Amino acid sequence: MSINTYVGGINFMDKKKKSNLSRGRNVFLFGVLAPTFVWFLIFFIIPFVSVIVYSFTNAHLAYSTFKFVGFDQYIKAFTKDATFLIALKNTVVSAVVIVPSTVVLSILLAAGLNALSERGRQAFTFIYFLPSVISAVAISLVWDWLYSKSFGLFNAILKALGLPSQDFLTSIGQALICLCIIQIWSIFGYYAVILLAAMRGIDKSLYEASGIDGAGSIAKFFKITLPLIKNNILFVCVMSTTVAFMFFTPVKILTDGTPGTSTMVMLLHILNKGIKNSDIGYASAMSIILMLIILFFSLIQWVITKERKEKARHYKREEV
Amino acid sequence: MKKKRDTKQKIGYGLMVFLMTLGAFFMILPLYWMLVSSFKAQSELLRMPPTMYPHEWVMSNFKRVLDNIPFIRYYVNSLGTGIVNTIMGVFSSAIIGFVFAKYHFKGRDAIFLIMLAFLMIPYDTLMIPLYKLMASMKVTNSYFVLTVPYFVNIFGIFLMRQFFLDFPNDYLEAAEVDGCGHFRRFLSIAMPMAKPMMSALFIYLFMATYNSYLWPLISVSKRNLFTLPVGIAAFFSDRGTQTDLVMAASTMMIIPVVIIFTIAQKNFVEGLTVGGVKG
Repeated sequence: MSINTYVGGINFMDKKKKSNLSRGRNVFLFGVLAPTFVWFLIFFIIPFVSVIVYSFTNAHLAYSTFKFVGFDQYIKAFTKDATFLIALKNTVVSAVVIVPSTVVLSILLAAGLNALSERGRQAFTFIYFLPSVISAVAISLVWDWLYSKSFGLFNAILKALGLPSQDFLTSIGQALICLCIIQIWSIFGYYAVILLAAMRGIDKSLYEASGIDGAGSIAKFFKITLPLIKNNILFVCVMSTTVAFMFFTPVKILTDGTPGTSTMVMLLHILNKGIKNSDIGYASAMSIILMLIILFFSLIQWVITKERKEKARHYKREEV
Repeated sequence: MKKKRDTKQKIGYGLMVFLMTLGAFFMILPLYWMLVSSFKAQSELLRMPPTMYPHEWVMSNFKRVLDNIPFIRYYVNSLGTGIVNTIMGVFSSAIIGFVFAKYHFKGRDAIFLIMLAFLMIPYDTLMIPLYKLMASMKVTNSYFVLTVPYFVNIFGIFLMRQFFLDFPNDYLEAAEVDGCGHFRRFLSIAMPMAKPMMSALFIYLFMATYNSYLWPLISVSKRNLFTLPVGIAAFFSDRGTQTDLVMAASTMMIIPVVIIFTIAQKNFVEGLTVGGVKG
């Protein structure tokens, strides 16, 4: 890394020129780093420090003063706020539904795309990737219309098949799953393309060698493809876990936590308490809890990416 | 024996293509349904069983959306903030990444590590204190909150730094001998060579702001500042029963993106998955 680092100032320059150059260098560095620092201070450091501080206080949006209350807000979340526990449970349930299905679907799709010819792959990638470029708001709205109880397409199909019509988003039992399906539908194509890139990076000679040894395509998939893209799969797992714990847009727009509290998720509850009820202290405590859950999974990702990077660097060194 | 396996493989391949086509059908269906619903009259929309395509093509839905909500205003807001944020985001990522890759200064590696650690914090969990900070600075409900928070992107910095680490110093040294200042060296030597990476980042950041919903929803309550996602979601919660208008508004919102995606599919896929290949 250090060989590649540009230090500015060249030896054959005389001393005076060099100090001028170094002044230019300092002005440039200051000009870049000072605004960057101010931005990070306002949009990262202060919010991050204050979410921690506020979580131990009774801070309120309307007042500038607050009192420290220790762990009261955290205790309140787990003992006095039934909605918090429901939101936590619903968030975990959505993650349990969303993560395995997106990961499995994206692996299968990536394998499928990988087996196709160039043209077929492009056409299918276009279709499966399309939801990734579309606003989650627009996606939510059309799914609401599909799920419509009296006039929706899904109930029309059920009726045509002679099955009873369903309540979907207005049913306590089905609403959360219906919302998860929207999330899965809109995101698995994106992960598949990430995995496809990894699969296409696999050395073709490995498959040829195993073909001579008599391995079938399914055996090749499990014995060669999956182990070689293991890290990418784990990465997709963690990414989709983070997204699942941040589950928000379809929930907010389509059900807003209803019917009852059956679709209340963490982020929605945090915003309701923090923005609607102006209870900054309590919302901050819940944000910290959510952050810790996600950080736990991100740490796993940190470890994986680090391991993978070292491998990549090693590979590069051999190459050169 | 060989032949048997070949037929078996052919069947497997056929089955796979069939399943993928079926899946593609389910991917397209909601978008198709949005499109055709926006061309149907309310009376046709509420027909059961539904018509698979509009028996009578109605264009008035789109016009009524424009009459009912300041759709053009939302559009201009979304597009304007999107372009400003993306240009600022790409430029700041490039120049900060360049500085972190090519200059030595005290604490550089520590600062960079801290920035990477910030990447681990799910930003949505900082919305509450950020909102309070913005409220105390009295900048909520202004273009400030729709733009400045998007100006720096840690992931973008990381990506550009990786790119500039491999950037040969010879070019920069040659420019220095020619008397180029530090900023000129960045602007006219380094940046032009980073074009492919920057255009991928451009698409990534543009889609991120253009589709951004949570922060504008929190920080802006004046209608004339609404961006498309917030404006259309608000329209839906006001007039959710008028499906013809909701679908027409959604269609108008996504059509330009879909058209651009169709033309520049490769760039989009590259740009958006750039976020998925960290490290």
